[in-house]
Amino acid sequence: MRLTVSLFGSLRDRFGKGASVQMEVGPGIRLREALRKFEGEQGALGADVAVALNGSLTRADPELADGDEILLLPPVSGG
Amino acid sequence: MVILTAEPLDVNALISSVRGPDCGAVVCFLGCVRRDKEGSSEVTALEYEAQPRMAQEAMERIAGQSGSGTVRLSIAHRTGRLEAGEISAVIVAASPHRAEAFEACRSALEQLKESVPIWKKMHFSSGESRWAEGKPLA
Repeated sequence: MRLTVSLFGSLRDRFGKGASVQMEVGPGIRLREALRKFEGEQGALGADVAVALNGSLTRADPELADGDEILLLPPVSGG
Repeated sequence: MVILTAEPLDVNALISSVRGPDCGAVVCFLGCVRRDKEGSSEVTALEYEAQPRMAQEAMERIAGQSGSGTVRLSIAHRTGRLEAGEISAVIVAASPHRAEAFEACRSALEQLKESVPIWKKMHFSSGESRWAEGKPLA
């Protein structure tokens, strides 16, 4: 199944990618495993990167579904 | 009122959205692009990027947590490229008395800086650019 990993701010420059990366993963994969796979392919994320699934911040490890969007959110600097 | 937009912010409209005959105090904070110096170079512009849906929801949460319940808050933030001096963010708090309005405005600003997925890239007069250091999303 296919996941979208969306990158924001400095992460986009760091990984030299566009706004998102597509990932092919096996069925039943969980969020943390998908993140490890991303890091293995693209490079390590810092501990200061927040993770959201389909628009909601999460620290859990849910099973993912085809079409899910993982959002990688570096430290924020609004204002 | 909560606004995330690439258009210039209408400060008067934001003030009007919270003021009323029950409020003796209206506090308005304007965040502006500062021409910071760094060595021989200086910041000429900031480029703001947001995750629109999450940023809007986070700003709505902040506006909804307006302390004592007698405070009304409006929050607005711009996206896109802003030149030095332009207004990037507006927070307006109205309450019957000034202490609550000042406190609500300051508190909302601090929350905005740490819980809203917005990022800014600094553009320098040297032609270089880099993302501002931020706070891990709370």
